[in-house]
Amino acid sequence: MSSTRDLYKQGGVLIVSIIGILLLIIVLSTPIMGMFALGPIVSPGGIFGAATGSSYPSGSITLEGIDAPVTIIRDNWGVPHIYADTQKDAAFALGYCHATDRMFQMEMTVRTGMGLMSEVRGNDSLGDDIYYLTLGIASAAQEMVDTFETERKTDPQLDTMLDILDAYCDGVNYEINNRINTHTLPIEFQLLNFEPTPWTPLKTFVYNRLMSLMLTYSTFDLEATILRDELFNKDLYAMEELFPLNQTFYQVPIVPTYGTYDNYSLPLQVTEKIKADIQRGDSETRRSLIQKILDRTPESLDFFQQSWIGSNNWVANGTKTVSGKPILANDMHLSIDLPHIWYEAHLVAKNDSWNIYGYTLAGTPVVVVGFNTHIAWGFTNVGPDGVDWFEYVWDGDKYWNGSGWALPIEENVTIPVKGLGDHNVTIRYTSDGVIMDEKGKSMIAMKWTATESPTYEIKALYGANNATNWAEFNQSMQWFHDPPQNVVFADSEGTIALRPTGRFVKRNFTEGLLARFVQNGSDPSVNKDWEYIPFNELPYSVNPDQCYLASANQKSTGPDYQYYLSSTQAAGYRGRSINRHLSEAPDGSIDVDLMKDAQCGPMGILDISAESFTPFFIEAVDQAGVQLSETAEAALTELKSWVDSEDRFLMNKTLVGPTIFYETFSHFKNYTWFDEYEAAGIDVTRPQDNTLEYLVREFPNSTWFDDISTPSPIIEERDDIIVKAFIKAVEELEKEFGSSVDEWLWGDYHQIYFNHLAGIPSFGKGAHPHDGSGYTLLAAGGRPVGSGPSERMVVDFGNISNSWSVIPAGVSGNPANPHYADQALDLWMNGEYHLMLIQYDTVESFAKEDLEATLILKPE
Amino acid sequence: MSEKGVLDYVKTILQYRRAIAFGLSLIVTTIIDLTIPTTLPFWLSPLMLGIIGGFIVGSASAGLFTGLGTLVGRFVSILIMILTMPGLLRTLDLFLLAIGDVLGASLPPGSLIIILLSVLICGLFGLFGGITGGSVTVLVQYFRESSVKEEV
Repeated sequence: MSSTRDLYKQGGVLIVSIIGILLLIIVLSTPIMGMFALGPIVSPGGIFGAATGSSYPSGSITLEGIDAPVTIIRDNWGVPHIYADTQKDAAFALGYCHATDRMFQMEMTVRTGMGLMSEVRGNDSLGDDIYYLTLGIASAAQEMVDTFETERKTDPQLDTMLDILDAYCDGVNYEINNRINTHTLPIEFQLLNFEPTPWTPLKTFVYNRLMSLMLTYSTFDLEATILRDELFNKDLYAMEELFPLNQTFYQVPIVPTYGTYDNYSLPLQVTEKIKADIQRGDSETRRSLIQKILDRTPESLDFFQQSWIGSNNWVANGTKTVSGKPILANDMHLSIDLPHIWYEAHLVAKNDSWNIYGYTLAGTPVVVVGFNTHIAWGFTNVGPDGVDWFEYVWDGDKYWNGSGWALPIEENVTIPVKGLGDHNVTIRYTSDGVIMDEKGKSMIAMKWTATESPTYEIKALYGANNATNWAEFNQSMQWFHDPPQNVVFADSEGTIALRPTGRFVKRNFTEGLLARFVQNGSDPSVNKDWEYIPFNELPYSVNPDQCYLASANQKSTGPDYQYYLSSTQAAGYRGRSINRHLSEAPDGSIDVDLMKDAQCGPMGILDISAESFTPFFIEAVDQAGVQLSETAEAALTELKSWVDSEDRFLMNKTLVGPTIFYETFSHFKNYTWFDEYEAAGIDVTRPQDNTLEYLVREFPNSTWFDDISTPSPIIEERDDIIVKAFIKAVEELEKEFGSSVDEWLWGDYHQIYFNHLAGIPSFGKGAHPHDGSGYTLLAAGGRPVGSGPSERMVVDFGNISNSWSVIPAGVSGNPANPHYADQALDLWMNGEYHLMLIQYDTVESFAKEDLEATLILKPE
Repeated sequence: MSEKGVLDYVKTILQYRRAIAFGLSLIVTTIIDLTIPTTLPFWLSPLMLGIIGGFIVGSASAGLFTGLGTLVGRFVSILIMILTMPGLLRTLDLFLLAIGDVLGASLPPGSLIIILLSVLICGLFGLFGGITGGSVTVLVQYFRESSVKEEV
């Protein structure tokens, strides 16, 4: 009996222990909030393994994929200096470094473009995935892969570039496989519970197209159509007052050889065809359809297209500089995120006599912006009109193409959705573009330069990376198609140059007037076939008499240029600022410090919009005869003292004046435009601020200043609106910061936040008080600031070792790595830089005090 | 080795079964954690250790000690990781903060919490593994003895 009891007892223990095990496994394997499970996380192969990459080890790795040993030296900022025999081996090592530091960023970014985000994030991302697949980013990238595979057989340069790209992919994949096999994936993969997929050339080209998405994709034509029909009652002349086709007010053109805009206005050519086009169809249905398309725009697209995105670049030649050699500066304004878009790297290929330093994209094997020992270059965005929208007559499944009914071409796409299985989508195309949406008897299709046919930026950049003078560089730039860029150039021989390059649809201004709205796709006379402006007909300037060149996204050319490029380029305040600084600098006075000053010192935080508007604000409030509150009186005094001080119009975080100006300016704009927009029932883009400046200066009685919500016969003029805006600004600031005006510091009002790519707050940094504004060279628009100079580079050909850089982040994408945000917090925020150590052209020459770790990749 | 020699050996093992279970789990857990942790599911290594330990010592009473051994072994391996991976504690801190973000709660940085959780979970698997292995061993022994009695 005793034995039987023992048997039962022991059996019971066994059952309890097995149930306990099963329960433990189930509980620990169940994802928390549908994301990660606790069990795999707390195992050593889990979060403990994610610490790999939180520092840079020294040592060596033996691996396949390289022909000779490659040395990777990390400097004190974690920047990799790659020493290889060939560019191909250097590309492998760069891919390895990118994957080591930015694996999560690379994976998430291309997933966005390829419409594969729902596979890891579930149904919430499905709408975005469908949108990006509809835009054709992935299919355009695939077309590039296919086309290049054919063309490489007859194009040796492309063939070499693709070999380099293959080596780069091998380097990325080595590290991806290594991290998967050792269960040491970055922390974000563990939190989101998925693994990266192998890197391919396709993904590199997706990255390429995402840059176009960021910089050229635009729904402005849709919004312009709403404006034309609703706000301006289809009167193009009325619209021209606020949305001029040529956008010329106070603009200093980038290329100085096509005249200036003093007292210039473009005579609008409204042809009979355009008049007929405006009156076509049912505008109510059209508006509703347009709104439907606008409402589908993903939030993640807003993330890519931060409203204050822009850039600055400029160059001064030897006449202007202290050293007698050119100095080039570039800062591209993009979203400020952690990890950051740019990845600094120094690449040396001994056998190719190649030594280059610059900013790469984690996902591409070339330096996008940078310098070698012969040349330097930098980019700003042109912002061309590269998207056309066509409205067709629609009968439910067919469209009228001008000569008959046509069936759309259909493409079936399957999107894997986490937790829900596959989702099938049909993307439909007309013969000229992709169908974005339809409603009733109307359908709208879109055509975009970035997806129209393969583009060759990677070939252009390979050429630029290897160029040694302007002729070679310029030759390579003909392949840089999209996104179109203003390319600034300098070389060690003293040449300076600036040119827009890219695909610009060839149009005169009358054709441009038609193309800035939704066009009639069903009209056979509407030209839907694009021809691009030939490269040699694009504007450019080499060694101009003024001895400097500058661009800040403003108007590309003066009135003498024959083609229409865009109606939406920047308002021009940064352009005015840099042109003033450079033109006022005496010959032989410009050095690296002045260039840095213009990027982020006192010169860099001069706000020309404040300079333009504030005197009007002060005068209007002074002369209004209105009884101001005590706080408002104090605010007015503060604003005046700012204008009278040495810091006038400087958007310095320690000052109060900028806060009062900015808040007043915001309300002034709102009070000027909101009433008319509200009456028209629209919420779309507003006029540029240089247009408002024109009204303020020239037409103080403009009807646009009248608040149409006040009863007749009350008619407000400019100064009435200014006073109203000022009083409102004081009320708002008092509410937010209290009645002590001294405490309304710009740095408390205007702060920057470094957002984490996946929106995980703990991995972000900030908020920090920040200088600048949306119109200073130190671009810092928005509140909180979420975009700005994504890099600052100054290259000095007087002494190439005296070239400087900083990014608003760090090299590593690992939040636990000391180089995750070190440059942002230690340098960028304080207007400081680090030297770009291009002078270390061999491993042996690298100074020990600049070295943090050395890793040698050895061929197997 | 003669049959008597084997029996003596087994008796010796049984005499020190708790110490052996503890030591075995400690050493093997540490080694597995630091060398091949990635090839096994998170629960398999401590569990297998427990079961193997249970079979070797042949008694469910060693379950507690295999659990304790696994627990200490995991602690030792994490300690070695902390000493050799400079960013480990920062990573664990950030992980807990990020969990807080995901859950919408404000959690303090807590590398210690993660470490204790990891050690505890590992120990639990070791414990259950030891009990399971020990129980099976006892049951097998019981049936074996029963069948011998029937034959007699």
